[in-house]
Amino acid sequence: MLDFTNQGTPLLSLRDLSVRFRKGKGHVHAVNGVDLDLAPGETVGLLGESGSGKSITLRSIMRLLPDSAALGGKISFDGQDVTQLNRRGLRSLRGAGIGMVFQEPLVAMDQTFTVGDQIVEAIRAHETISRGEARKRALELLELVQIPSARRRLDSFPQELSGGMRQRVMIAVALAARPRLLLADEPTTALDVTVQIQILLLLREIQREFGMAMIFVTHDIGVAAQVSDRLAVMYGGRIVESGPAGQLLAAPEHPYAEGLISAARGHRDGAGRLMGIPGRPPRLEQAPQGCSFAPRCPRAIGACAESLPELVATGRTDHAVACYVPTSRG
Amino acid sequence: MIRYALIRILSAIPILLGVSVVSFGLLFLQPGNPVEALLPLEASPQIAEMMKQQLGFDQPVWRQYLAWLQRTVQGDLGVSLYDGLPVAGQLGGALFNTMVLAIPAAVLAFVLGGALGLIAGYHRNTWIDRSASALAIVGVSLPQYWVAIVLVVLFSVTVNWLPASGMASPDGIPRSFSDLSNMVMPVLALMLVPMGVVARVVRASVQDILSQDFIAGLQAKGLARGRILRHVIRNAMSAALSVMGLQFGFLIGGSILIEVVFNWPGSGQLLNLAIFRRDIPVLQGTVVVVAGLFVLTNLAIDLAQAAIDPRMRR
Repeated sequence: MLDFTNQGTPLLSLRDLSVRFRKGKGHVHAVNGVDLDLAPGETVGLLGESGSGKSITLRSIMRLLPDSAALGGKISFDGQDVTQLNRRGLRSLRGAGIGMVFQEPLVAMDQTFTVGDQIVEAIRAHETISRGEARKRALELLELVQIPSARRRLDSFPQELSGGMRQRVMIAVALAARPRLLLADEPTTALDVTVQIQILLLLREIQREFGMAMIFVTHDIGVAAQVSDRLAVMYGGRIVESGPAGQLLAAPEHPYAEGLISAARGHRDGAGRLMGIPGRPPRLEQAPQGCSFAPRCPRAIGACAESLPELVATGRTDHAVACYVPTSRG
Repeated sequence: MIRYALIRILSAIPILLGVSVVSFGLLFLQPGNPVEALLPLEASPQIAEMMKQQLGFDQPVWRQYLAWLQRTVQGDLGVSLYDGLPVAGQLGGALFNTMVLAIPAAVLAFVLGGALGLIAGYHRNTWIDRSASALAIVGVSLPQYWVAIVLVVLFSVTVNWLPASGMASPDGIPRSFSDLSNMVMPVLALMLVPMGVVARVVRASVQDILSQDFIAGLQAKGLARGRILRHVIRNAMSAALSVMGLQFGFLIGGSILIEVVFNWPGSGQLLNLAIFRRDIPVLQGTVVVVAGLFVLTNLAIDLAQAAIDPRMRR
């Protein structure tokens, strides 16, 4: 088993995580054997395109999947096996152990409750304190996430705030019970670029202050590079490469990661055309037999379609790749 | 919110005026001249002319309308052509009697319907959902008068537990258990439809709410199920309130069928008698007051919705 963390026991560890959805008569294999370790205080950027399974991976850590989902593998958080938790255990895991920031704060918040009430109930779900006391704390949280005239905003409804403000409120809600791990599901995707940067800086700052670990899901390499200590690139419901952020971005070893990074940098081919990755994302109706990227891969060999490459250490520090023909092999 | 309330209240005024025009227009729906309908066939033209002047029918229609509107607004609904008693008094008594049935029927229907809908919505596509939904469909589908008659056959004729008809105390207010027993069957018959309608709307609305992402957001905060239920109820409330308002409006009008079957002297019964007696002032008065109450009920519902759900305050 690979251990990516050098700081002893990981806070979170996923082993062979798989998620399958019933769909009609068949299944959708959304996540297919994800291994991931996260040290306390560490930030991992989970990078991938739509449908690569990154959001589902994130939601399964909090067991927030719909009933049609079947969860396999092991999730342990702080020594607890999350897949075995009963209702009470789950309730204290959610919020107090792990906080979550959603992509669309407006959709993820109840628009019939004020911002203050939503933070207050998040606090009081885990602590027995009075409403007044909780409201004071809610105000502090709004100030922490740098909301101007916070006191007035306590009585606003989410839909009365701007997109950036809403996301700040969402972060305040996630922090309400002082979690040790923050899951951020594309928290800046729905925002303007300037607001994006503010939110990223805020997350980074708060994370340092609280000593929280964070998993940051995004499809935007630039965003991932700004916040992450380590990156994990997902494709077809698997992690295909993982390593320290700078190292992975400078020299990716998986052909998909390489394609993704050069596409994001706007690299051009010999004829001056923007380079993309030809082909389409994999269909997930069947569990993958070989590497899901093989049909689109310029380096694929026979073995790629036959058996699934495991995520193995490459020799560089903390770096692992799931590929039979990584680019480092020339 | 205050601004919204003011706008909403002001916008009820043209609706109420529309209601008054239609109620006033009822007078002209009957064939011929209202005076001819009142007088025996052999009455002389002079008498007819005199009566026309007395009742104001020689004036232009708009003037008749304004005069009628002015009296109506002041609470003077004229006198009955049948017994010469003031319409306002008769109607007041009848409306009160109707409320004696309508309020308990509405409370029962909304509580039971809401609970059924909530349970069905939470247990989507299970046997619980199917049985609750079946009950709701039965409620809206059975004809009220048939239910009423079946109830009478069962509880009065067969087992003789409940009185077949009538109102026990003369003022309609139940004071004893036996007074209450007169209300049981009419209330039961009245509540079935609103219960079914509310249950169906609440079920659909709860299912929709549970599939929304903010539920995951609430779970992610580690809220207890009871706390999440509060959010679900609050969100389902506004859809539920709008059907409740309509249903309560129908109940205020009094069900002619139920009040006739149980011989209950309410507004439905009064309307029924007025139609048979061609008692135009009673008919007009009942229609305008009941329609006005209907508009006011829905205004109250709109305001309640806006208070619960800020998205309604457009």
